[in-house]
Amino acid sequence: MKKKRFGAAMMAAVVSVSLLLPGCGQEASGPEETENPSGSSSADSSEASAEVPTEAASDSQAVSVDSAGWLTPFEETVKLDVVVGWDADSGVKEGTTPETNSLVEAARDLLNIELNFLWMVPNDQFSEKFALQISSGDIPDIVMLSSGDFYEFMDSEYLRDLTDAYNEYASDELRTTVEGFGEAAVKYSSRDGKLYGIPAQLDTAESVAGLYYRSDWLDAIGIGVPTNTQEMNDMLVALAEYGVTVNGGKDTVGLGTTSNVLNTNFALSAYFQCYGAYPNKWIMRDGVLVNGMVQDEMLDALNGLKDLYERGGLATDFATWNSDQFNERVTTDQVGAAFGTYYIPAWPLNQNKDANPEAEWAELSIASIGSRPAMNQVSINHFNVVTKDAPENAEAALIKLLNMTLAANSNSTFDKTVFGGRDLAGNGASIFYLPVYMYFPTPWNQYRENIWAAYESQDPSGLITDIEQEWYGYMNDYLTKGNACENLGTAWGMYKSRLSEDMGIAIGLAARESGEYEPAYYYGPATRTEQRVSSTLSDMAVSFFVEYIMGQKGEADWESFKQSWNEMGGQAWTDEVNEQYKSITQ
Amino acid sequence: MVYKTEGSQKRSVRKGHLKREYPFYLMMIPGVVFALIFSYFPMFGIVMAFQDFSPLKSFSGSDWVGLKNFKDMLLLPTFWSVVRNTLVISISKIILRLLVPLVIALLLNEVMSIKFKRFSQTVFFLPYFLSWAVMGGILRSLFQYDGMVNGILTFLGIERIMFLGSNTWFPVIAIVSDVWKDMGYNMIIFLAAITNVDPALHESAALDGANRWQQAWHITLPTIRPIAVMLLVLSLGSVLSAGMEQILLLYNPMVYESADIIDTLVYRLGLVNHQWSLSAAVGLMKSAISFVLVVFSYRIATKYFDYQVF
Repeated sequence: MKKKRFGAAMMAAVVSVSLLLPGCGQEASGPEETENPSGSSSADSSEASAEVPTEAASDSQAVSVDSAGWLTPFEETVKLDVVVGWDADSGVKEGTTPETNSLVEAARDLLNIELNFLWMVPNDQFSEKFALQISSGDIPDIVMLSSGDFYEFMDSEYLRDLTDAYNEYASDELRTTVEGFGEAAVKYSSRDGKLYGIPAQLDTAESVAGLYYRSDWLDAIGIGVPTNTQEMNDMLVALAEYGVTVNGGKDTVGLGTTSNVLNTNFALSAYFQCYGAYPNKWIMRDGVLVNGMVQDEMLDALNGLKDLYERGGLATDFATWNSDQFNERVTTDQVGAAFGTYYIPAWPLNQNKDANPEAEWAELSIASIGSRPAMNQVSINHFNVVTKDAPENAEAALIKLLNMTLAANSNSTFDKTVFGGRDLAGNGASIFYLPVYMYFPTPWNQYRENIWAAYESQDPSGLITDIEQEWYGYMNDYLTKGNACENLGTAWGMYKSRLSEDMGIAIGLAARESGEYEPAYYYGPATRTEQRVSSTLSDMAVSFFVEYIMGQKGEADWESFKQSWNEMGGQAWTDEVNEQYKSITQ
Repeated sequence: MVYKTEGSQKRSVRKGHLKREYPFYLMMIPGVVFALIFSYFPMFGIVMAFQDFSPLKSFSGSDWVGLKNFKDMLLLPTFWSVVRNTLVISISKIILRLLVPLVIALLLNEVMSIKFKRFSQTVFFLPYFLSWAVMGGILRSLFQYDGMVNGILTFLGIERIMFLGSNTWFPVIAIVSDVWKDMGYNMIIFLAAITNVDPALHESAALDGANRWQQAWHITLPTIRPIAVMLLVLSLGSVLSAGMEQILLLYNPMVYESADIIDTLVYRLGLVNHQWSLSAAVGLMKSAISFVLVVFSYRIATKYFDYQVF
């Protein structure tokens, strides 16, 4: 009997340990997927770009290296262990991999930097693989970090000080890119006056959202373009009612949404902005930063949504769709409108245009219905860093590599002579196959002007960069041939998102120019409390919003929601954000 | 320790056993090594449940915080509803995963046509081979608001139901689809057990005038009881695992209240939110409870059903 009991205990042990295993696996694996605001980090640089700063780079910096002065090889080869997340890009010569990337060769020949690839994985597996790499204690020498990781690394004193290398080797282009958006980005990347990361930024105008709607339907219905939130809701309901009469009786929604309720694209974040409410954005009120989530404007927006839901403007199951289901319904004329940032005409609205060329979309700016869209004060996509055990000169090597990524960007006007006539593209080159890179800041206004001028004179010879010529091609195609043009969806989507006067990036640029926007402050490293509670708070908020919209919660519950949000860490998080913000802006 | 009292005679008997059985022990080695490397060695990671763990500081550098993570766990606003959801979904699954295959196996056993029996066996078993990634897509298109099932309901003049967004229906869909997908496995086990029933028993029962129903109830069922008990015992250990993949693929904010389970919570805490320690604490709690449950259920099985593995 004793023997049996022992056996039972052993078996139980084995069984329960095997149950524990999956748990362990998860715990050991990756941090949150690196946020990728451009939707895909494969190298459509036009979507992942940043604007050329309007202000000149700060001149207080130490000796600036003139044009390509950084381009001197190290005397002794700098060998760096790196890891890469990448997706094959159809624009790059076929068969090119991160290892055969001709920029890697250029780094070796021109700079005497040798990259040793520990591994390469598709982008969507990067963060998990990287977390495993960290837990193994074998950390790459140079790497790109998301905001949360950057904070953890800095906190654990795992990063090398880049200040001297930056001052000495950063090219003018790199300085412009890093500092041109004002001092904030540099401050967010520093601690105690030491620079620990080189922030890769996106254009802030690209973070502005608007409401894309089926203008062909609206014309057919015969009501005017909304000028306030009430009219907007009426329009959404009308679109839902009308759509079903022209798409063959399929279920139609006014406002299309996905289960990521608080996202900006295809979700409700921007709907709240129409009411002056800014969930999960840090906005300035009476001199302090507050999270828009618990401001009372939220209640007006929630009531708007509840009304919309009751009247059939939202799908009955509005929070259950995933993005595939959303795209499918957009394509098949089952969605009357959706919120999104500048690029969504190029994806996924273009699919609707391809399926039904008669479909037409227009954009309603949040400003035009009397509110202010949120716009990021800075948009840092990632930080390029050097880790503590990297070899000597790794800091300088990082800066030189980043200089190179900017110079190599085929969309940039930057000096290409640094490569000494090498046929980069011919041998297969992509900066997005590199372990570290900067985004090229798209000079939106300049490019748009150039392309429009070229279109008016029908002479594209003055367009220098590849991207301008590509965009010009789409625009010319669509504007001259209309719906008869080849690759209609792409041509239409690219034109509407990037070049049109009243849609896409134009809305963001106009908002910035007029100053009519709500600045979303603070892009600092994640605070302690944020790491601990942000997802719990988000889950709680989303559950509350969904229940409110569906009529299971009422105005009486709002105060208790606010209270629990604050008590569960929201207040502490807010305090920390203010403290960090102060230390950064001082 | 168990063998301390045993005498030398027994020991030599054991030596004889050892000689005879050593090929079996040899065969066990890969399995044992596998378990050591992948199950026992990683158990070291449990320490992070008692630390403020950061992968960069590793285990040695992270601060010890005692039971703080467990306190935090209990303070999670959704903790108890998550435990409730886990239990509801998982216990229902365990019971139905036994009952449904048992009934089907009994019915199939009574089927005369061998061809039909084979065919049905295959049909019932097939879904078992589909991964949840595929099943998730199928279930979504079946049960979404404008999906096939609602199409049929509308055709029948019944009002459509928001299956995937309703706190009433979601657990039902989750439980039923899981049972449907996995029932083939247990069904095969039951069928095999039924084949082992001595036909002589049935014959003599038939002579005594027992009809088929009585034969099934008094002969087949009692004979396969140990198998059923074993399956139950094995599944009790997983009472706190309600089907991570399935839920993760199907759930959405509309049904967090009824569908969020321990595994999805651990997933969000650990993977999404970098809260390694808290997530390890929840996982450890789950394992500890599972351990107790397995020991407990094995005791019951031994005591009341004379079931022994060792």
